[in-house]
Amino acid sequence: MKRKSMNEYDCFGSTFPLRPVFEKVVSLGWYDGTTSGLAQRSLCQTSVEERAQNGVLRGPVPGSSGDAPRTLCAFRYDIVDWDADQDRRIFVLSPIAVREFERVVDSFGESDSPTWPLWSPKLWQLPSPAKERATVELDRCLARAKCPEYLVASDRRLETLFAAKRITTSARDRLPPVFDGLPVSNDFDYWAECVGLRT
Amino acid sequence: MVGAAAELEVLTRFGEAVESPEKLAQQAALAEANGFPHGVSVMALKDLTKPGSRALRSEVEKFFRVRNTGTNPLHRTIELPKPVTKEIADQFNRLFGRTR
Repeated sequence: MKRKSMNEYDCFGSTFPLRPVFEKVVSLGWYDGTTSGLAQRSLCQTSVEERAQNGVLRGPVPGSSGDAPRTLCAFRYDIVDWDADQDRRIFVLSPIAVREFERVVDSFGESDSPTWPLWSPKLWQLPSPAKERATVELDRCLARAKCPEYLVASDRRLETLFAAKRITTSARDRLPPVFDGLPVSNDFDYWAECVGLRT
Repeated sequence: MVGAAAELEVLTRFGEAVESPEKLAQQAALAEANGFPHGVSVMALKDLTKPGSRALRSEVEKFFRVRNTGTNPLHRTIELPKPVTKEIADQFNRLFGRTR
């Protein structure tokens, strides 16, 4: 039987609020908080496999202990909508390869030091050659992202998840082909219902 | 930014309610902690139908420094002094026509 990849499982579980969620967030879009970027999460591999055998992952696990081997997963995230004062933000997550995430971090890191868990690389301040290299790497990574897989509701820093669900086909159909770092609609209630967030 | 383009640039601040000094200070601190100037976000959108409050950049610059920041070429930061007092918040809200 083919072994599933990390991203094929439900890696956010059903217990919320969930914090911390991502060990590393590279914020690429900003509006009084992050609006788009890349994020990496690690899960305890043993728990992942046990839960996968039971057919469901009720994550996370994380934070957890010990020396248990951990599995990484990475996503591109884009804002879909936010509430009236932009405190609660709903994002769509599209899986990317962990090595793509690391390449982007390396290319930005040439001239800027990462500040985890949330890092906003100052791309706009980079000198030209470094900026071009980083932009090429970033565009390549974003283009290779898979189809949107999850909707999550979080705070401004993508630090606390209030809800998360796999995206439905009908919700996915409302997404634009290209994201621009700003909400794609002005219909927070719709997206809140999709992600299971109590408003 | 200089000349006519700066004068005509319209800054959009999302939301419509009056913003408190505390909230503005919180957002400015978050921006600063993430490598931006101590300030809040606005967008120089061409699409003026997006929901939000608007002000001319040239008007805002009479009271606050506006800087082009972030990866999105339309993102701007309006720098706010520390601490963000009630007077500063009132001025900010007036510029964006927020009265309630």
